[in-house]
Amino acid sequence: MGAETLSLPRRPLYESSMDTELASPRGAPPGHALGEIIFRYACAGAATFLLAALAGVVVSLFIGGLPAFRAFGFGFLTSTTWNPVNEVYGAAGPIVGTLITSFLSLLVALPLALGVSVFLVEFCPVKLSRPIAIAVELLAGIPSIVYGMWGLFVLAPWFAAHVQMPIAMDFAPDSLIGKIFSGTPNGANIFTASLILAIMILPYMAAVFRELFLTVPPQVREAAYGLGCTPFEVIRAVVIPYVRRGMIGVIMLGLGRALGETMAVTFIIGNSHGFPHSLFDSGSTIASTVANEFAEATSDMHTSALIALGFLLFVITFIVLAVARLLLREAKV
Amino acid sequence: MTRAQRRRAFNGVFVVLCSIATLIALSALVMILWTLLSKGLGGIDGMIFTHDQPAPGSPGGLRNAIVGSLIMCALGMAIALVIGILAGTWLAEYGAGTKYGHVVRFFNDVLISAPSILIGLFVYELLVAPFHGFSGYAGGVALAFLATPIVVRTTEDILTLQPGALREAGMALGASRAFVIRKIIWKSARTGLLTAGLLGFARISGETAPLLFTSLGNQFYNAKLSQPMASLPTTIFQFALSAYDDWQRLAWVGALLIAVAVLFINIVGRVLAREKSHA
Amino acid sequence: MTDTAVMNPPSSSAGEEQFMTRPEGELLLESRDLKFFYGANESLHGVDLPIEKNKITALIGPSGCGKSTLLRALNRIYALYPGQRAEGEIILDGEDVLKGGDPAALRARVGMVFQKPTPFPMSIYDNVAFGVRLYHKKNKAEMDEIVERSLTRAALWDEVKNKLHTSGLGLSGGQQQRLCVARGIAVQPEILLLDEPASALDPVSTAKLEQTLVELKKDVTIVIVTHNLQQASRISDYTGFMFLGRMIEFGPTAEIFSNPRSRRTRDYVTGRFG
Repeated sequence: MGAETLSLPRRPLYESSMDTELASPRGAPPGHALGEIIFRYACAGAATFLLAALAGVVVSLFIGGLPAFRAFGFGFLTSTTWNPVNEVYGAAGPIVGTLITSFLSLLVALPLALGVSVFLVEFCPVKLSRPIAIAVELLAGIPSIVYGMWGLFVLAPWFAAHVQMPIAMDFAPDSLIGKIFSGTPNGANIFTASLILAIMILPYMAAVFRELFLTVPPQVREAAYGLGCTPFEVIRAVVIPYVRRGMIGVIMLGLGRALGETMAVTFIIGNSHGFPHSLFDSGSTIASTVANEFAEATSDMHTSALIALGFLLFVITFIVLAVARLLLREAKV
Repeated sequence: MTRAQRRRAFNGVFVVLCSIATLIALSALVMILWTLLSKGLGGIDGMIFTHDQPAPGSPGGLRNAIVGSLIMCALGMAIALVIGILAGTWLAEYGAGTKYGHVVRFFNDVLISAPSILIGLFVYELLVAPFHGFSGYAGGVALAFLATPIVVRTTEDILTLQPGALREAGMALGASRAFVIRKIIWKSARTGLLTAGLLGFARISGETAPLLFTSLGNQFYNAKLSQPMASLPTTIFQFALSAYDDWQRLAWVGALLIAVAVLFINIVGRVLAREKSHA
Repeated sequence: MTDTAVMNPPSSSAGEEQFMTRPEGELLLESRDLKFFYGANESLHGVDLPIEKNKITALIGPSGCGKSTLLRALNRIYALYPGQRAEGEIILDGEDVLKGGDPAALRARVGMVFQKPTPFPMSIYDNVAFGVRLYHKKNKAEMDEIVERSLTRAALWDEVKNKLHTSGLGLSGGQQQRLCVARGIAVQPEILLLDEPASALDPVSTAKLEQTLVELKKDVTIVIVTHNLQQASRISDYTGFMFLGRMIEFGPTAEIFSNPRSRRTRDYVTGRFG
């Protein structure tokens, strides 16, 4: 309806030899109605496609891993045996490795990220703040494989020579220290992997922390300063409580990234399948195991076990990231 | 110590700690860049761009890896831009405020940080296993999955910034919503959309894990998407973990090339953003 | 009226007496019993607005009285936003355009200029030609003439004739607003609605804009919302005073300002509140 309404003769507004009088429109501009429908559905379709892709990832990982889950049952999660020759697979080693490296890296990265972001927001001389912020962003942009190579060729040898060797030489293998820090002195262990991970997630967390701090209204901070608080007290008593929820969100975001990081870890974690027995022992993560073995998986069950690992990683990271996003959404970052 | 002195002392310690943290972060950056430059620059010679990867012990370059990376990143970005801009437009224009819009936005944010290796597994199941072969297509699609959420997010952010009066002015002349979006809003957000593309490209140009079992890698020159294709990250991975010195040298050169490319894209993105705000 | 009554304004205009002096000439547009809802909130309570052809009608009233809402109902631009709806009738040349008809076609006949200048991100020429190109295919010579004519009538031609293909965003605020007027009249609408068009402009640009509107009314009927009482009394032929969603008084401008029949109107135009 509509085409037959709204038609009436027009009084010409100018005398003109050209046809510059505009007849009254009878409906929507030609082609627009159809164009609107097509465009709208294309956009909605693209948005739905995203959701479908995510669902597809979950489903395909589950289906691919199903044979392994069926074959090994709950024991898949608890067994540390990973034996492609005998076709026996247990995910406990990679799972534990993933969790340990992620939490360790968070332990190291969190205070550093907080320190950097507080420095940038409160203490940094104005002229320096832009270059430093850019430098931190650069750190975040470096591809993970570069981190991996640096870890393998620079950090590992240094660590072996300056940390592991001295400990090995000064402490008997039976002593408490010796036990905690035992391991092949090649620098490729869960500790160094955690260090690399920490450097990787540090800039990202620092950047989001900084954004969070900047959401605190200036009046609130000025009020605190006006009462005579030192910067430390302002941060502790006013800023942090204001953004507490968001901070937890950032921490979980960092955790989520650490959990899924592949390349940096694969280079330097030593790639052994069992539980790590000490801080400097080699280990593996889910991501590093998949990265190392998938292309040359020896059998269908091997492939399925690896995909099952992937599914587990997906579930863990999804939960962590979803909670993180919920918390951050409340903080409006 | 008086209370005031103690408070000042605490603050002083705090400032020192924060400065140390910043120094640590900065020195990590300096160390990594230094290593990249010293090992990478030293390995560059005339053959890097003209020769394909060599057998261990023979001279060679990274041409096949560079070309493969460029092709797959281009494919990935093409897909990501189309889907990402459309989806981001939907989120900003049609879906804003709706429940479904919240859901899409939430899951998109989760996808941004999802482990890239799992995307690789998914694309393997989708495009490699059924067709019994690794291919550049699979690699490009995996990269597209990684870049799209970034494009969506950036597009939505930039379109939401456009003033509502601009939309109303277009529709007040009789144009349809789609026409206004395409001819006015997108045009007005040109620079931001370009930045979205650049950010996505920067992210995927350094990605290794999703390519490991989709495009796999190829020691020979191959520009055909239907075949396994070499890429800088996978080649670096293989070479760095090998025992051969010349392969390791090439790995550092490759790492330097990737880092420089990512750096360059970031700088271009910044310059564009600054120009726009001055316009 | 005692000062206490002015200090404690009512929260509702229900029960206020309404005074309507309908125009004598031919009506182009008329709203009858127009109600408007933001969600469940009724913000216009049955408004009658008669617009005489080729005259300038001004809508005045304190903030929140509904004058912008009324204006935005006339070209159905509110339809962009879910949750906003209108009831009643809007009669344009004998047809009810509120319920039936294509909003896009309506908006080609009822143009709108907004409070903040909104030039499109394209050249001045393309800005003016935008609306015309939606509906009509014109060759270059014809379009050139349409653009020149529109810019002339918006009092902008002399200032931009040598830079027609530069971006519209490069103009000053007052020029941008006149560009929006030129863009609005290029499609030869029957009515042009203006929502506080000069509130973001300096006095010189405002004067130019007002002059433009007075000359335009020969060809285009004009409805203008303004919070500037002097502006309304300067340029409009008819004025409607609104208060809390109702049309309290409507009539020739001279009467509204010098001899209003409603107490409320008199208090507003004499500055006792608002």
